[in-house]
Amino acid sequence: MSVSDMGLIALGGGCGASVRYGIVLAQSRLSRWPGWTGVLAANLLGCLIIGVAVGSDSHGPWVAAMVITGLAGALTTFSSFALDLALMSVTRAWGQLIWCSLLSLAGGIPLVLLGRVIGIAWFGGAA
Amino acid sequence: MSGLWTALLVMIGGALGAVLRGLAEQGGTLMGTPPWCIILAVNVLGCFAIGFLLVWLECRLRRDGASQLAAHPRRHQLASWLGVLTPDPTLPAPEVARSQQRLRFESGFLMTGVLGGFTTFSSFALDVVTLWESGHVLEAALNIGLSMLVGVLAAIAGLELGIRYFGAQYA
Repeated sequence: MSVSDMGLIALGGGCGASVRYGIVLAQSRLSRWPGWTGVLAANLLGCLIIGVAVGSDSHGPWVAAMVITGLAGALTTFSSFALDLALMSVTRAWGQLIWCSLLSLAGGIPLVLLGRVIGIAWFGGAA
Repeated sequence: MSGLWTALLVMIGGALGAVLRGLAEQGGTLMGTPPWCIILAVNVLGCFAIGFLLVWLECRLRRDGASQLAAHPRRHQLASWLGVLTPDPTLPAPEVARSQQRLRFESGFLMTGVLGGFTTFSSFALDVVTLWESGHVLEAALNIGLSMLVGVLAAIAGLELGIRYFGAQYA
C-alpha cells in the first residue's frame, strides 16, 4: 500500500469515525431510543455510502481507498454492534437482540444495493 | 471543550484503525485469503478486543457507578465494583469527574476510534452482496452466520476474560 493510499484511508477513516461518534452522541442526547440505535444509524448510513462508492468506482482508485476502506469502513463498525449484542445476550434481552440484528442485516444489505443504483445514476461516468 | 478533544481522539483512533484494516486487507490478499475472510477475521478480532477492553477501562476508570457491566450476570466477580457498579461515596467529586473524563478520552480513542475504525459493517455487507451476485450463495450465507455468531461469541469471550483478569485487579 502506497503512502498516499494510507493517507487517503486515514483521512476517510478519521472522518468516518468522528461522524459515527457524533451520530451516537446525538442519538443518546436527543432521543429516548435504546443506545444501540445510534450505531445502527451509522452502520446503515455507511452501507448506503459504500454502495454509492462501488457504483461510482469508475472515478478511480482513490475512491476505493478514501471512501470504501476509509469513510464507509470507519463510519460503520462491527465491534460496537457485537458488543451491544453480547451484552444483550448475557442479560437475556432477546427481543432487543433480535431487533438489533434484524434491522442491521435486513437494512444494511439492501442499502448497499440501493447505494449502488444511486452511485451508477449520479456518479457513474463511464459505467 | 472536552467533547471536542474526545472527538479529535476518536478521529485519530479511527484513522489508525482504518489504516490497520487496510494493511490487513493487503496482507491477506497477498497470502491469497478471500476478501470476505479477511474482513471476517478483522471483525472477530475487533469484537474480542472490545469486550476485553471495556472491562479494563470500566474497572480502571469508571467512578460514577453507571457501567454497562452493571447488568452483566458475573458483575459480582468485579472486586472493584465500588465506582463501577455503584457510585463511590468516599471519593471527592472532582476526582470522580477527572476519572470520568479520562474514561471518555480513553474509550473514545481505543473503542470508538481504533476498534470502531478497524472493524466494519459496510465492507461486510458489500462482501455479502458480492458473494451472492457472483453465485457464491453458500459463502454469502456463511459470511452472515459466522460474522454474527463468532463476532458476538468473541465479544462475550472478551468480556468473560476481562472480568476474570481485570475483575480481580484494581480493587
